[in-house]
Amino acid sequence: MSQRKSYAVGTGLFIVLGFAALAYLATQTSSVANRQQGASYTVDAQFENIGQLKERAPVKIAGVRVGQVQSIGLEPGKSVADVKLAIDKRYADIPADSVATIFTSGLLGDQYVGIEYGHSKDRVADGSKLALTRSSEPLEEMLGKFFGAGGAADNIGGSYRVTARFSNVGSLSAGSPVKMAGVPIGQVVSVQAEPAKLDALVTLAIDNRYNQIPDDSAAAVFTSGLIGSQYVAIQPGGSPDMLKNGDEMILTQSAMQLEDLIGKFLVNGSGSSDGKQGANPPTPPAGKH
Amino acid sequence: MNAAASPDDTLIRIRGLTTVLNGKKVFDALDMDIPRGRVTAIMGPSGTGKTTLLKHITGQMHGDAGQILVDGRNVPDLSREALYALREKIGYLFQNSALLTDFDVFENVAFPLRQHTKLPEVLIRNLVLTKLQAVGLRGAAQLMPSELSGGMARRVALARAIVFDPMLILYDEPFVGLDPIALNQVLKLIRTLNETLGITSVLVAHELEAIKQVADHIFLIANGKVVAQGDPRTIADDGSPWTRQFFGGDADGPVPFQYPAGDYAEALGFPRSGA
Amino acid sequence: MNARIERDNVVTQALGQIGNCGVFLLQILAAIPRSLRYGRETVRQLWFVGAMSLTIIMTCGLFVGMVLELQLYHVLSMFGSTSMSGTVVAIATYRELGPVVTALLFAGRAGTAITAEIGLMRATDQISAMELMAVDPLAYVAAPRFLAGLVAMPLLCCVFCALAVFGGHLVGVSWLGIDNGTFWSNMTATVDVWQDIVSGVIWKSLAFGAVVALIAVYQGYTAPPTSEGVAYATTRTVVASSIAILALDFVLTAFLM
Ligand SMILES: Nc1ncnc2c1ncn2[C@@H]1O[C@H](COP(=O)(O)OP(=O)(O)O)[C@@H](O)[C@H]1O
Ligand SMILES: [Mg+2]
Repeated sequence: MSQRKSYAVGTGLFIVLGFAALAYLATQTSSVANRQQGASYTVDAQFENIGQLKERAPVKIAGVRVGQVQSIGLEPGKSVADVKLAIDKRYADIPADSVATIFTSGLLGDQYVGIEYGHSKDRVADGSKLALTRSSEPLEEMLGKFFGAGGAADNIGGSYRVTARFSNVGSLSAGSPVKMAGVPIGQVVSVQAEPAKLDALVTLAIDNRYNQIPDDSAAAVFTSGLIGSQYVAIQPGGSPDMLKNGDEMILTQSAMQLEDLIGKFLVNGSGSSDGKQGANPPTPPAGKH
Repeated sequence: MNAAASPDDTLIRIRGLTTVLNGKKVFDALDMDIPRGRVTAIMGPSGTGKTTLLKHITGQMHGDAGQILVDGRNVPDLSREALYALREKIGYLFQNSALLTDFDVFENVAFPLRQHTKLPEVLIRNLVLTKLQAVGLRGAAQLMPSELSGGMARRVALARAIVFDPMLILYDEPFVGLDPIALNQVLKLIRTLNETLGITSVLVAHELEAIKQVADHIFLIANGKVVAQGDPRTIADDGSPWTRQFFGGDADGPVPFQYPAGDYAEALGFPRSGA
Repeated sequence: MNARIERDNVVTQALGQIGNCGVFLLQILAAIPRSLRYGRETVRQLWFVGAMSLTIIMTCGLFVGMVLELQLYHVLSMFGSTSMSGTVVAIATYRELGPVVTALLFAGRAGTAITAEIGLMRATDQISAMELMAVDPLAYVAAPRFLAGLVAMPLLCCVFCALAVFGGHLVGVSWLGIDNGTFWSNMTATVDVWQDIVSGVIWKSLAFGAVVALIAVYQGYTAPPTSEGVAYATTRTVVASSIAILALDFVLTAFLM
């Protein structure tokens, strides 16, 4: 009998421990930890493009979570997405002319809805609509300028070579693509250090088809995505003379500047706390791999 | 109680039981009537199907044809619930005791009570101790099955088999491996149970001397049939070759020593001499 | 020639075993309502298969979390995102390692014990004795062990995952110096209750618990009543469970995530 009791007690403890572990996982290590419990009210917003926004994505004001995306629908016959936002009752004082914008947490992170306060005296009520919205597109378009796509150009028509000097090439190496307007037009032939001038001499082979490049065009070292490979982007200038074989491109933009730029888009950086952004430019070229 | 319930004094009536196992005809149209309230012994050479017959009676196994009426109901036709209800009234003593190794002696005997009744703990305790006292093992109540000798284990199994005051107890070779003292104790228990409680007992055993002391009726089965039956004192005198060989213990006779097999010479790879 | 016959036999045998196992599952499921009256037995089995497995599950969970964190720290430091390592530990554990490793350990620790126990019960006629005492062994022996496995696995898996996160925290924050706040805030920002905890930890481990318990009980129930037969059945429990766990994991991952 006593034997049997100890089983029951021990088993009870085991079950309690298991559920405690589950409660711990669910409340301390998951998004539930960020979730306010309690009553909420619903606000509609219409977006032309919701990008990667998903149901249960957070709704934030000034970066603080105030609710979540309740549902996403598409009205038949209309090309706008209906997004219902469930906002915590505690945050009931949102001006009716506030702007709902779809943001991305970091470059690779999930998307969320950010609400920027307007000035109206009217407050949004349960079931009302936020008229002013900004879709996720502008951000992506901006980023798109920096993220070319595709690989190196094929080299059928022969090529001509130009050189460019950079104070920092990042991880650019021979074989990296050269792009103009995002389209591959050639590739990097060699990357050499120039000890005398303390910079890097990069030789580019550009396809003969693209021989109409003004000689005051700028060459910049960009990265495909945040952790993608680097490439040389050519930004056309306005000179009537065109680049020829053996020319040097005077206007260049080194790799570090891209990272600075990206820093501006890391609206809500997911906390890379190790102060890498905005570091001083003369880090050694092979600092990253 | 059962004896009063039915005027029929045959508890188990077997008619035309035929069973084929692995191509071997274990029972061939077997007929048998086991009287109520008596001790009946079933004897026969090993491998004739005595254990199998007990399994048919409890519905663990079904024959290919024939009827087994226990207390008027045909066992092969019973639903699971009815079969289990019937089994609650049957005690079964295994050849190897089959005590539950997880539980001590007390809990083993209490097991059927706990499973089928909601009796208060005090009553269970009293019932179990009564039965253990009956088999002389009240002092061993706290031992685990692994701490028991073979004879003790069998007596515990017997206490467990009678804890529900069954109408029928089936004993499968209860005397095997017992020393003469333990054998006599078990023998005495079987007789007492039958005399005091009127429990019908079916006994499968080889020990003729022991059986003569306790059994009212003996069936001798061989080749899937009852080859002889009768009173223990007179059965050996019926003059059939089966009884003569079996009770005389002769090596030669109608009971084959060999398990059925193909030609011996052929099996050894010799050319057939006869053909 | 001989080899082919052998292989055919192996394949047909395996298929036959799966078929029999399925029939056995139906029998167990049918016996569950009847086994409810043996709740005590289920509790006792939960003690044996669940509580007694805690030590090994906790130890292994801790080390899995620690070693994952260590590896991830080195890889992620190349991208300057070591603060995400805890998150990856959590997600990898919740979605894959937790359920799979717990199930493999469970098969080795509890599954073999179930098989050996039931196999020996059969060999010593205890199962028949129960049948003859009008106690249905499917309801008294098989179903409680199956239910215990079903209940114990998710609980053990939760404990495993909690210790893995703890181990990751220990290595990442206490030893390698990741900031405590970022460790947790990245994790809570990324781990999703439904996607990771419910469909990872809970559903997967429920499925694995059912499969391991079914295989263990089935192998014990059908083991030949000899010492060799029981030994062989025990081995088969581990082999069959491991294969079933990993195959089922693939299927579940494809469907759940
Ligand atoms: N489950 C079974 N499957 C196939 N054959 C069996 C089975 N059980 C018993 N037998 C065969 O039936 C015959 C009778 O066995 P059994 O009843 O154990 O004999 P005994 O009279 O010695 O108790 C034997 O030849 C045995 O080989
Ligand atoms: Mg026998």
